[in-house]
Amino acid sequence: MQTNFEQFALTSMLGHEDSPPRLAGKLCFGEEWQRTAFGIALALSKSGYFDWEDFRQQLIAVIGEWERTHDLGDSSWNYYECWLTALERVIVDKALLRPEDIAAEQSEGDPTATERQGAP
Amino acid sequence: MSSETTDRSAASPQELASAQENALRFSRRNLLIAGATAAASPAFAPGSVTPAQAQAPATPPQRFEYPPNREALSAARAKALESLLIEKGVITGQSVDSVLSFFETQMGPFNGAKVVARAWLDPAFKQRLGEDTPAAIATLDLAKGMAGAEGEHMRAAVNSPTLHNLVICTLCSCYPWPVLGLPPYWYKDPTFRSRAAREPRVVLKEFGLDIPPSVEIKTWDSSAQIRWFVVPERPPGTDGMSESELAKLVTPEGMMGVAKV
Repeated sequence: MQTNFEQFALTSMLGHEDSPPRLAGKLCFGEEWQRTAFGIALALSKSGYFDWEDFRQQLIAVIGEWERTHDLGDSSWNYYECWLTALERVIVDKALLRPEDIAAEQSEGDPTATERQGAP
Repeated sequence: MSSETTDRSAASPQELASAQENALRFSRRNLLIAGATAAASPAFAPGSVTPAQAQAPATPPQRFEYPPNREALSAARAKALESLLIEKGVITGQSVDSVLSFFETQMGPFNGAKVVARAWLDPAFKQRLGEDTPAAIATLDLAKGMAGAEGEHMRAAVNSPTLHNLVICTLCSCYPWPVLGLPPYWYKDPTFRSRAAREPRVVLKEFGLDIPPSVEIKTWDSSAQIRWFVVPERPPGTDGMSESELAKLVTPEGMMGVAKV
C-alpha cells in the first residue's frame, strides 16, 4: 500500500530504465525546466488526466528510441529531454493540448524554436 | 547485459558547470566500464569523474549535431506546456508546486537525518529506536506517512564502538526512500549486494571505510518485510551542536552504513 500518489509514482520508477537522476538521496535537476517538466507530469497524472503507467511506458519508449540512435556512452544524453518528449506525447495523445498550440506557444517563448523543430 | 541500458543520468559536459551537476554526468555504462568490482568503489562518489569521462571531448562529435541552444529550446518547450495547461485550466501552478514540494520538503533523506540527530542527543530515544523503530519515529514531528507504508516495517541498526552495521537491499522497491532518500545507482547492483554480504569488510574498505578487526560488522538485507537503516555514531567534535546542526551532518551513505558521518 502506498500512502500517496507522489510516493507511488517515484517508487514505480526506481530500479527501472526510467529511474530519474538523483544526488545525495534527492531528485537532481540540472536546470529549472527539468524540475518544471517533472512537476507537470506528476501533477497531471495525480489529477487523473492519465495513468502514471501510461506516462512511464511513453518515457521508456522515448529512452529506447534515444538508445537505438546513440552510443550508450554519448555524453549528450539528457534524461529530462526524454521526459519532456514523453510528456508532450502523452499530453497530445490524451487531447489535453493540440500540437499546433504547443508549437505556437513554444515559438513565442523561444523565437528560434520553431525553425529548429526538425532537429533531432 | 541489459542493465547497461538503465539508470543513465542527464546532460552533456558543456551544459554542466557546478560540482553538483557533475554527478549527473556519469552514465550507467560508464559505471560498468570501470570494472566488475567497481560497484562498491569510492570512485562512484557523486561528482567523481571516470576515465571514460575524463577523455570525453569538450564538444560533442559532429555526427550528433544538437541544436546550438539546446537548453533554451527545452526550457521553451517546458514553459509552453506549463503556460498552456494553466491557461486552459487543466492544472494550476499550485498543483505543480505542491507535487515538487512533496519531494523537496516532505520526503527525503532529511527525515532519516532528523531521526539520527535525535538519537545522538537523546539516549532514551536511541534505545527505543533500536527496540521499536516505528514507535520511536512516530514520536518525531515528521511528514505523515513516515510511520506507515514504506516506513512501516523500518528497523534501525544502531552502530556502537564495537559494532558497525551495513544495509543492503534486494529490490529497489523496498528501499525506504521517504526516510533515507533515493538509493544511488550502484546500490542495487548484484555485484555490490553479493560482495557486501560475503566480504563486507573488504567492500567497506573500498569505500574508504577501514573498520578495525576489533569491530564486528553486521550486514542486514532489506526486504519487503523489513527495511533497515543504520544509525551511525555521532562524529567527534560535535559537542554543543543543535539537533538541526547535527542533522545536516547525516548523509544517506551514513544511513546505509557505507560511510561514517
